[in-house]
Amino acid sequence: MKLVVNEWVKLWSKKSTWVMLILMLLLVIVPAGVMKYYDESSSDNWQQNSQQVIQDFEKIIEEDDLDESTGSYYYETIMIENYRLEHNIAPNGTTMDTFMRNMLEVASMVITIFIVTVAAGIVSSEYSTGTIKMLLTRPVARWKILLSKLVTTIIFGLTLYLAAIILSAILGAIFWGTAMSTPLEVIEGQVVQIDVWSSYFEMFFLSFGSFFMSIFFAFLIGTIFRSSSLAIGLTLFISFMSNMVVLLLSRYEFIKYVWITHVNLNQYGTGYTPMIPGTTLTLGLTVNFVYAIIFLVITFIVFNKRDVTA
Amino acid sequence: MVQPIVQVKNLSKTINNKRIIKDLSIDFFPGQITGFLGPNGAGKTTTIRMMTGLMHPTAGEVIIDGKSLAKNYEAAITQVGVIVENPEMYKFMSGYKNLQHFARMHEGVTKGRIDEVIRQVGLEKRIHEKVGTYSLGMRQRLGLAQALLHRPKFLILDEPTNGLDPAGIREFRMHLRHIAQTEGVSIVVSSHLLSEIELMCDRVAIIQNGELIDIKEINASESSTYYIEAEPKEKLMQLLDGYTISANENGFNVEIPKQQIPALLKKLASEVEVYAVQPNNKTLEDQFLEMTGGGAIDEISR
Repeated sequence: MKLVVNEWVKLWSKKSTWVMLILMLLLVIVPAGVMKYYDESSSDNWQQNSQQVIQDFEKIIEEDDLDESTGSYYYETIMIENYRLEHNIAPNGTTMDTFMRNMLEVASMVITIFIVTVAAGIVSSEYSTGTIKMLLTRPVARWKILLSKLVTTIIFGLTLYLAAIILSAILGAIFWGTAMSTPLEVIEGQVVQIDVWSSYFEMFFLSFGSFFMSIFFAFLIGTIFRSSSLAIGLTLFISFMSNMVVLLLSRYEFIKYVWITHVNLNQYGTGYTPMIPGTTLTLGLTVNFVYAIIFLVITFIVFNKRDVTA
Repeated sequence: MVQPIVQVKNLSKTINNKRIIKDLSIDFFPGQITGFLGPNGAGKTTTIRMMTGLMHPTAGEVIIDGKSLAKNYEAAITQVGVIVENPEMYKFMSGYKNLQHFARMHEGVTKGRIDEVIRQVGLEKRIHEKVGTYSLGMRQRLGLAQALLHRPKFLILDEPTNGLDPAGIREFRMHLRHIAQTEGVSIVVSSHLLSEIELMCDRVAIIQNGELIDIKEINASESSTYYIEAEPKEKLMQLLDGYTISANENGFNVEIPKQQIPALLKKLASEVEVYAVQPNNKTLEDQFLEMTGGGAIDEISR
């Protein structure tokens, strides 16, 4: 689509876009350096450490009156450490995959912030500069123009992801070699070795929840109110406050059906517990999907109907 | 009768229960430059926005080249080139990239056409600089360039000479004339600058309070009074007996058909010293003020 090319060219003609990309890359490069530096001091005598951990934890379990969730954490840790000793699997310091995993976590947070500013500005900036008039007096239906902006925003976000992933893979390989870690997990009372890459991509795809919902929401506010600052502020406010709000309202049934409960899909990932008991990934996806549709429909209707007076 | 390229039919717009535009109808013909004149707040810009699809009319329709703007938007708007108020371009891109950007939104605008338009508006030298560095005059030129890219049959310009210097205005005017004559483009220019409309346009549509109150061809001489100055005055008065006259400065305004002037002059020349004879053209300004009652913004009637 030529319109997407247009938006893409405009996006990269702005300095702020390049700043975002560079910041993004720095956020991968700097931690890599720091982690490599501290890595040198890790100990070699892991068996002793493991024994120590097991003894400490067993003592804690005996002495303290623990509630269910913290208790299970100690039990599982002990199981895993025992498994390590039995199978002679050394715990890993930093490896290529754990580094990439950490960086993906950082990246997805930063990308959410960046992508919100882009999504919020890509429509509203056309209004504030008056260029919207030039754009909407062309033989192109309005919804196509809006769609091209949405698509461009998403492509930009995915580009940032791609850049972060590739760079973290390269740096990880350079600093720590291509050896993988052996993450262990307790699933249904059994210690299991998880596949590094499937868990990496699980995390990657689950981060799309907040990625897309933030884009759609910022896009909605930016289009309706024609103000990028409002859209950025509101979207980031909601995404940072969502955990607290959800916890406060967690005893009400309706909160299960509000999208902010499900924005962070990682809570449904392996090894995590959801914020609201009884919610599942399926429910989360469904709720997000329904809200996404609502947001987009409102955005497109408003944009199509509105008289341009800018 | 030439087919109109654009027909505006019974256009109305109501905003917050106020009728901004009331039942406005007007046709635009190829090769003709129409001035859109009206006091501030008369509804010029609103009408233009409805003709470009930026605003949706409450009632009525706009038909461009036989296609309804509301029902067949993409096909209708293809024929239209627009500058609404200041041509707002993307400041962070070069003029050339701006043109490329808009060219991509039309069918069949080639690279050659972009270069041709740039040459037409005389921007070759600085087209690769960022628009942010342009003067207002250059931005107006770029604005014209983007409006011409796709060879529209209908060109709508809202306050196009805003911020141009006199030389720039003159050049702009010549340019519009040229396009109208050679390419048969129908042009609408809105402005509240009367003199400018007078110089630029073939006809004027006067709007007030959202209503079209008059359409006039310009240059059809309306003048039938002539100013005559001669000494001695008393003698002149006697000689002008039979004509309706009124005193004006050092002479008289005489109501007389143009054909009779030579004869009158011969008669006068032998009796009095004639210093001046000139036609009293009512300027557009006079007419405009007459019609709009001083150009005050009337309370928009409900």
